[in-house]
Amino acid sequence: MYAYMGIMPRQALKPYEDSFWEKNRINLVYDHVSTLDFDRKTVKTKKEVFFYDKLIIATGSTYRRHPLIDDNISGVTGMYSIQDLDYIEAMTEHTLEAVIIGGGLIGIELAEMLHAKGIETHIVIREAAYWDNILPREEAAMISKHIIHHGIHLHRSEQIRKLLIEDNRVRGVVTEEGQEITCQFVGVTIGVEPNVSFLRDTKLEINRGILVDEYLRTSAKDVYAIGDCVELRHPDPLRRATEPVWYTARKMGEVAALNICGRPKKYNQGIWFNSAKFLDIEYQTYGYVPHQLEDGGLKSLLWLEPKSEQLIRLVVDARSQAVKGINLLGIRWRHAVCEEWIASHRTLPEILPELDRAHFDQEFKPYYQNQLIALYNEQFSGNLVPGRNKSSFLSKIFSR
Amino acid sequence: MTQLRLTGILLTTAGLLAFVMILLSGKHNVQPEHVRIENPIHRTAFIEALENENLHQENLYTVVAISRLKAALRSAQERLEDTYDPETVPVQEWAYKIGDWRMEQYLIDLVSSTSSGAVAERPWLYFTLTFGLMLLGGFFLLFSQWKSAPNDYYPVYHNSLTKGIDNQKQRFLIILSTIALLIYGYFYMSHNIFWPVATLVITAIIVLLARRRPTEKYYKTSSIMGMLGITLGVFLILFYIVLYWAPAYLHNGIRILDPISEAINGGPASQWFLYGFMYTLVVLVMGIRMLIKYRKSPYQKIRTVSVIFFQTAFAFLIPEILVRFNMPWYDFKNIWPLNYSFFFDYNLDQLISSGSLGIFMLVWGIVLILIAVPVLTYFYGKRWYCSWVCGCGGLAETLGDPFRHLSDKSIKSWKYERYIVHGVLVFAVIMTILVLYTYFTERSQILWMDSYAVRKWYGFLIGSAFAGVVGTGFYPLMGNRVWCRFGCPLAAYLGLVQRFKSRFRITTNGGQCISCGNCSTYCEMGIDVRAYAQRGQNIVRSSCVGCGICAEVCPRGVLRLENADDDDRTRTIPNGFIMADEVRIL
Repeated sequence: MYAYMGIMPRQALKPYEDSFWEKNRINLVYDHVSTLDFDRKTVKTKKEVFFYDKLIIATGSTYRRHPLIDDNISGVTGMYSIQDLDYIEAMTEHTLEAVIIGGGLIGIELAEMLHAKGIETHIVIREAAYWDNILPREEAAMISKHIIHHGIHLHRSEQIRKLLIEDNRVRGVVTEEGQEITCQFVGVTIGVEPNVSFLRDTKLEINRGILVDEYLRTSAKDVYAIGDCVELRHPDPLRRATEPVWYTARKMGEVAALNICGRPKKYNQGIWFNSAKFLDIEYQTYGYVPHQLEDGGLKSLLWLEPKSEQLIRLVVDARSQAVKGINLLGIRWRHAVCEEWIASHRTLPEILPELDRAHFDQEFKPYYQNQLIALYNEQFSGNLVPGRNKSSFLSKIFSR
Repeated sequence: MTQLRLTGILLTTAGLLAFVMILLSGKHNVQPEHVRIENPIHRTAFIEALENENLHQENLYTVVAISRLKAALRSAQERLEDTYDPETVPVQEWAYKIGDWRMEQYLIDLVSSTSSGAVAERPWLYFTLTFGLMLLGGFFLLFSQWKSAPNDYYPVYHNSLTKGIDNQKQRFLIILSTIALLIYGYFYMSHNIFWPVATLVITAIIVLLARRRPTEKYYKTSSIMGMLGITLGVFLILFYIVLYWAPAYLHNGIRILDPISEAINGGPASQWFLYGFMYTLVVLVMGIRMLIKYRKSPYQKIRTVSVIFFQTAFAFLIPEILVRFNMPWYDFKNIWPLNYSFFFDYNLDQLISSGSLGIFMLVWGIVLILIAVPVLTYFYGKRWYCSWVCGCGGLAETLGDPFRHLSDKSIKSWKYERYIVHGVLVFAVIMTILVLYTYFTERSQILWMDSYAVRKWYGFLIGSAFAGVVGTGFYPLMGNRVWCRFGCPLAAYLGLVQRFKSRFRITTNGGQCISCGNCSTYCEMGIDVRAYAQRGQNIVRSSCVGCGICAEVCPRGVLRLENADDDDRTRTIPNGFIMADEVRIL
């Protein structure tokens, strides 16, 4: 996104300097894999053949194609790889209007990119509020409002009926309700799926993704798989078999590396965490936050501040008040502290007085601990004592 | 671009062009009756030179007038040199011969006394045409900033003013500047080849030490070449060169500010008043721009207000008002070794002879160096000074804000930085020791060096060229902190405390970093912040000035500037959320 918007140079997208790879004896091969032979332990690319002792497959995701859209229409694409970014840059050079089908994390990123360029952007989503298949109602509502307030058109509870094409280039879409939206670019962001189609005719056990055990081993000897392309055989309860996010992929990478270096380690899914940014709203989540709380003996302490677009939700066990999950919008909390609270089954009355341990907002930002304690006393019939007001004099003057 | 912005840019450029034109369009009557030199021997010699070589004429443009005045001064200097005879001359040698150090001041005085006085008659008219237009333009720009959304992304890499120049051109620029400076330095040091050569040798050593590092591949040259930025850079460099080494050409511009100068310090303006006034105005206007741009961030707003306050009050108003009361011009926030002339003989003498306030200034200066720096840096890191108080920092954070991303993040650059900045610190310390030795023992010759020459070379190379010309002139070319990062000896001192004994760090939030790279891109000090964040390691670097922009641009809220425990073991080791130990980064 930042490279497209001219905020970062392309070179800065590289995580390390070019000299890093050589120095750590890592050869980078820029090529496409054509065949894999798991018996002879070879990888054949277009240019050469590699023999391996250990193989790690990390082919990531591929964006889900829309059933109504033909793959070779010009001006239509998902966004996943840098080649997709190149295509988007080329296609949107003279674009005035764009439509994004589907709303999740990639959808909002694409929307922000195009909108920043001055393109009239429409997002068409099946859901009633943005990403409300994952986010609880209040969070989704706040984010939908934020998106609309920014000038991006949000078409909720809508789907695409058909694409309008001229000279093999998209020129508009028609929704189920019959609304016609003119556009010169269509982004398809209806989700991702494991990028494993090229492996389906091998002997590797694949379901939706490559099946791996707790050591990330696939069904082939000395072959591991990590990241978006993986499907865990035995995921933790309350977690999924395929979790296509940055953080889990990174963790899997570390585990696989340890395993192939003779330091066996199990992949422990641990306490879930994720983050995103919806235009100007930062989102952090820890633990288990179901998008519908009406079941399972859970209750929320929900603090909303619509003016500053902030939200804190603490999901707790209804009886013990042990913290199960945390959602944050526009507020930053310490990962280590949140994880500790959830892992140690700390209860609300225990953690609220020591909220400053979790405080990770910038210095001088206003502090909400007392508001949260007051809310708790009200909603949970508690009797916690408000702490010393941590908001400094300067923060009262300089924050809005 | 919006109408408002375009109007603002046009107005500001018009004011700037008007300023340059007014400088060039001054008229002078170079005639004996307009010569005001106090020393009668010098005055007579000068007038004789004017008449003998037929240099006098009325109605000359400033540039021509200066060349004639210079010729006459040189001629007079030579004649007095030749005719000096200690037996027959009734005065001291320095009162008879015109010393080199006097020439520039005589030139400035002559340019002023021979001026036809057009600006002096209507200074406010010219003020309106120059500063007035620039301020009006600034107002439009600020208003358009206000209209745009807070924390709006600026496509800096798509903008000709801010996209900078690529690696190859930067390298070329640095080599060219170094050579040009050393050549000019030869003449500046009165044809003494020792100083340029010594500097060249030290430079070669540094290059050899830092070169043990593979060079990064060059980017495509065509894609990063901002013409507007280069133009601005050239303009700033020229302005500083003229300000430091040819101030006589600024005459008309200085006269514009005479009424303001009279009002504040009771005397006519000088090139330093012009500089201080422009500097303060720029920090103020660009500071307001920062307040508008970061209106959602309390830290940025408070810090910007602090910087504006210290520049306006401490660096401009207070010193000028002190002069009005016949006290020494003193910037209370300027600390040695940044304030490299603090221990010079004329400064020490002036402070000692200015009553109890002067003694207070002297003690205050020493207390700042010995106590304030270590103590405040221990509690808050060097950000208390570098991005909250310092004048250089103030300009960098305000005028330099659009250019933050141009700093070089490579490890090679970091290596150069460490050698150069600590080298300058050593130079400053040695120079000051020599100067103090001379002050107390009245002997200026130590080994093969003359302490006056050492300090003159330091003032030229570091004080003027590095801090001024390169420091500000390179904003659009290599970022807004080239001086602070590579040259400031005070930064080196503060940095040593910050790195080894301080509670300050930038904490990274567990495993939240997604390696997007915004933090590194926008770090003005060229710290590869991402390299630390993506390993789950706190950032504790001697060059970090705590501007907080990395935390602003981070899209996941991974970074937080904080003061916590000073134990190096917890400050600098990875936090365990990410396995960081196994690869070699450096």
